[in-house]
Amino acid sequence: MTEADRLAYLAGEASSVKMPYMLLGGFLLLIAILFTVNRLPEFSEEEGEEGGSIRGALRHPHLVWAVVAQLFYVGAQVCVTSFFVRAAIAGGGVDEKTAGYYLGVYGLLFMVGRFAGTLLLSFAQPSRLLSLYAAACILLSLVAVNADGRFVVLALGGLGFFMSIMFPTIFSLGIEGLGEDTKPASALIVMSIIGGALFPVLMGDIIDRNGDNIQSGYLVPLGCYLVVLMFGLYGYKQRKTA
Amino acid sequence: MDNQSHAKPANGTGKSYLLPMVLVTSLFFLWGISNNLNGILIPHLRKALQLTNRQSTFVDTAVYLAYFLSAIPAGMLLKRYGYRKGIIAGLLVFSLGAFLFVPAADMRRYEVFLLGLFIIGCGLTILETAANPYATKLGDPARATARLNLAQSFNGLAAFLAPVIGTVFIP
Repeated sequence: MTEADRLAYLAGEASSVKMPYMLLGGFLLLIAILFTVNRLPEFSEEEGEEGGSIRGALRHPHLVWAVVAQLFYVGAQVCVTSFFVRAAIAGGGVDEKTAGYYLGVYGLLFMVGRFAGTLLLSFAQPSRLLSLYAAACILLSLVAVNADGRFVVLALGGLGFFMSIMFPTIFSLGIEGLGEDTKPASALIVMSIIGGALFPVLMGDIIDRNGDNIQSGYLVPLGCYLVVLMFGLYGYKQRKTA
Repeated sequence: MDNQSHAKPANGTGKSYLLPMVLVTSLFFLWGISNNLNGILIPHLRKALQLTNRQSTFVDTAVYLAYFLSAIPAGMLLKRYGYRKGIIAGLLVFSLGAFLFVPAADMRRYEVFLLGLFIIGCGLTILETAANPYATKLGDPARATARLNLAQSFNGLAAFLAPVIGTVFIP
């Protein structure tokens, strides 16, 4: 392949990302129009949200716990998802397209987990279910680090299933009982998504240092699930503060 | 065209929350599409732009750094303008970032992709800050967690569809 051929090939690879993002941008504009023309209920200050503050929110220990747990949870989720295709190519021995379909199946398991979780949460205690799912993720991460390639892909699928209720459950447990501080509290929990900026880089570094061994990187999400488990067992509890 | 001043106050007395819930749920779906295209985008850009492993994770860093930096401004924006206008602003910012992928791909410049992803992240922050509590408030408070999980289920649907859509465009 000549240099010109190589550049043409790379340019083709790069331009293949244009269409999905153009479609996405178009849909977003359409939904923005629907929000503009429809009158939606607004929950405004007279419903007791005035005077809420970040300092007020931080006086609730269970909210602080939720922010920390969400930081680690998002870190774990982004690590598992971002390295999924590479793990499937390395472990399962498939090409990029097939690995992409596997990622879809992983996403499907995520969706099934959400629906199952929605049903379970109608009667199960959210903190209990969260703890149970975190424990399952810890076991599956151990499999991802130690098992043969094919089992790694299966373990990652399991992680998708058990991670699926974590974000919304940590979120609602965290803002429970926050009253007027609900909006700043939810901003704080959303801010904890910085975990997604930090943990994948750490995972990438570990993989680089272990000679491109993707499996070694799953120690990072493993540590994250331990924090989620602590939140589900203890941190979620609402305490009286001075 | 802002009819908000004429809108009846939402007092939860028998008012149907179906349409608002459908529209808000569509937001969970759309940001799910964006987030879950990253799993395809990262290995693909790594190949197309000849990136190192570490560099390829900057896709995540750009999006999630945007979440971090815009969380407090987004909270202030919503406090001042309310959920509805905040959601519209979030959608417009999000689409701007998505459209930036066109020049980025034409120039084959990773920095422009990262800028687009950063702007997408800013739009996502506004949407998530508004839509998560908004979904919990659209009905019976006792069912808030279950309702939020239902909306998030459509985020999960996007987690299945986004990679499949993404692979269609891989040459």
